[in-house]
Amino acid sequence: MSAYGGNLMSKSFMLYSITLALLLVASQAFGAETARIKFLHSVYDDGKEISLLYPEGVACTDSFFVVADTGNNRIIKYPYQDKIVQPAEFEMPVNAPIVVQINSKGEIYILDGRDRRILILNADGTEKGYLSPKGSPVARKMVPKSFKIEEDDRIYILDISDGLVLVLDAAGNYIKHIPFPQEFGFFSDLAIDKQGNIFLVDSVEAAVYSAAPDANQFSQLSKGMHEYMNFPTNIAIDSSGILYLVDKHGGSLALLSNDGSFLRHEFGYGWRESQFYYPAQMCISPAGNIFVADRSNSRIQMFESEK
Amino acid sequence: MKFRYTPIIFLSAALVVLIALSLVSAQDKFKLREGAAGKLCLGCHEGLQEKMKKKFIHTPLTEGDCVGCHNPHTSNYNMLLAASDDTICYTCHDSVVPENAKSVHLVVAEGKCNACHDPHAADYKKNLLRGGSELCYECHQSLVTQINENKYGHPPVKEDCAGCHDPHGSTNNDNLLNNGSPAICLKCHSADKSTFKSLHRNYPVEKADCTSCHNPHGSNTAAMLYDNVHEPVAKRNCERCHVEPTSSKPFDLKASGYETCLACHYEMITEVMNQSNIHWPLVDQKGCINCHSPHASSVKKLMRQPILEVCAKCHADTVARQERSATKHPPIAEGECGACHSPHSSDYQFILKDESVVEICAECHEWQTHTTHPIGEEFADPRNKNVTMQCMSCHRTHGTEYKHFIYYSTINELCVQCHVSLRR
Repeated sequence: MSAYGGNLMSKSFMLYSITLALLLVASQAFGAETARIKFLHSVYDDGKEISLLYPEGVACTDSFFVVADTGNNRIIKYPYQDKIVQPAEFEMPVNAPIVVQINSKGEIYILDGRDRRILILNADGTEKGYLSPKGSPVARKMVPKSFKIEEDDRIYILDISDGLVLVLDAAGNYIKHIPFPQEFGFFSDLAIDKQGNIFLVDSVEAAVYSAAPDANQFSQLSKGMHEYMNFPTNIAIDSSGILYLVDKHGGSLALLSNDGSFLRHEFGYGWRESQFYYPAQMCISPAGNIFVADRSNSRIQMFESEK
Repeated sequence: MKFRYTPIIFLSAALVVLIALSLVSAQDKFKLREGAAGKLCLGCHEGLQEKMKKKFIHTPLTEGDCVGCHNPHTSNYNMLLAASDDTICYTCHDSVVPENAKSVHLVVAEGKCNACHDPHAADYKKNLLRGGSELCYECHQSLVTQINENKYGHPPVKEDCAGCHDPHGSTNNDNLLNNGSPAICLKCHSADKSTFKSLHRNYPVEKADCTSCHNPHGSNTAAMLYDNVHEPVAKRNCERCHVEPTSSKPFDLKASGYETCLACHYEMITEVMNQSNIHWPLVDQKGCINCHSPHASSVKKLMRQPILEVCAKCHADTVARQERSATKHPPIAEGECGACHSPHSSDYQFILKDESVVEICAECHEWQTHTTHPIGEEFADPRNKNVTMQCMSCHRTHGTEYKHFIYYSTINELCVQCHVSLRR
């Protein structure tokens, strides 16, 4: 091969490489852009003509979801199939339910806003008892502001009284804790991704903190994002690692990439379908169905993530 | 003897050379006639000649270097300045604000040096417009009123604010303080005296923040305590909340968070805890002291700051919305967040004082009891069957960018949100 031919080959190779790299970058950016959220429908009542009232909590699987119907002091379980919601399977009176979670056995964990304790219901809705951490060397008073249950049924509690995230096993035994950072505004919610990374949302600073699975402290992932959101109070993560922040005062969802950079907003403030009026908890099912407790609109809105 | 004056002669010579060089450079720049620098300007600007008689003259002016700050021909800035008036001083004085300063005087940050200094000449050192505290009083009027009315004054306050504050910025301290508390207080006050110790119940307060109890600008309460004193402090009953002064950590509290306050405020706290919606900071690590000062405060109810400022610490977005709003909602403007909200807890949304927003608004807006758009439980919102019409259906109480804090730019646009058939 001549020197000219060799040069041509290397130039072509370089051109291909650059084009490929550009395409890769573009496809990644485009990929993030294309994960659109499509409104499906809203749930306004329990199927027995009793309307929802200021629901603050929603938890979901791929076959059912549970609503903390806060204003009516009850928990409602709704089955759904092919994205169609069925009438409520059961409802259970609970004092002031504000956050709900479901474990792998279908048991329902409920944070009671008045007692500030976590009540557990069996899968059939009967009461199992209260979550009581065992063997914790740190949680002296434990005031859960929020909590999450992961696939392995580990329970992560945002304990604002002791200033830490407490990690328990399914039986409530202490596994570990991670203290809050030295400086922060106010932590409202937490989320855990598939890898076990823990994310905290700071409502006051409009910031996100994270801790790796083996970390013993939190570090700031996203600095003050007041430019993009007002007062984020809830956080959820989808299967691709995108962070969804519920901007309560802005009535929207703010999406962040898993490195904490802001991607875009979804929806806005209002009363119509796919608008939010002081939304609270949101949930993303493994299949990508999204539920938002649209609190002050007294409804649950259901969306699907279009890849 | 021969060498005694050598350094002075040497320094004087250097100064003369420097002045000459600067004049030459100015003359070079504008090709001024020999000896014209300064004198040429003063020929027309007679007022400046009078100024030149003042005690302290800005160095460039003493050197006749008017072109150090002004362009004699044309300029894009006022007064033919060579740069904008908020940056020109920094051309020479670029180190007046410490790097990474913890606090910076607002006028300095805004480059309004003229607020305190006369750029040409003044009767006070550093070309200040007035001497001592008088200069600061010109802007800090409310503080002056307070200081003049104080029964128990702090002498340094009337002498010179610069005794405690650095007027430009402070590297390590808030409020432009040139040292933090207690170090700044201990410069004058000795903590070794037995009276000092007994008055402070033998707690090692010389290691604590004095301004937690004492108002450094003076007050109407003995010992310059802030005017609202927490009862245990007034009675010097520190052990009510703190562990013994002989303990290894004498400032530790006997309980944590709100539980510290429970012993005295049991009834109130129990009532607060039994509401459905708690204001969450109340039950976090700090508890009540997120908003209240535990020892003393110049604000009623021992609030750390005026209520609006306390609320804005966390709810800056809400307060900012009011500030941006074309129409101001008086309770917010007046810092009366408690007019609608119950700050500790409530059984209602947004920790409101009443379940019905309409009822809360009616406390001030009496007109709606006789003439109003249909509102109340019996009128469903056409946009959402689970929501009824109420004041917030049309108004955002903390403000919008539109008049009367409605959600849309015109009333017509607002109305057609529900009255869709009337849409044009």
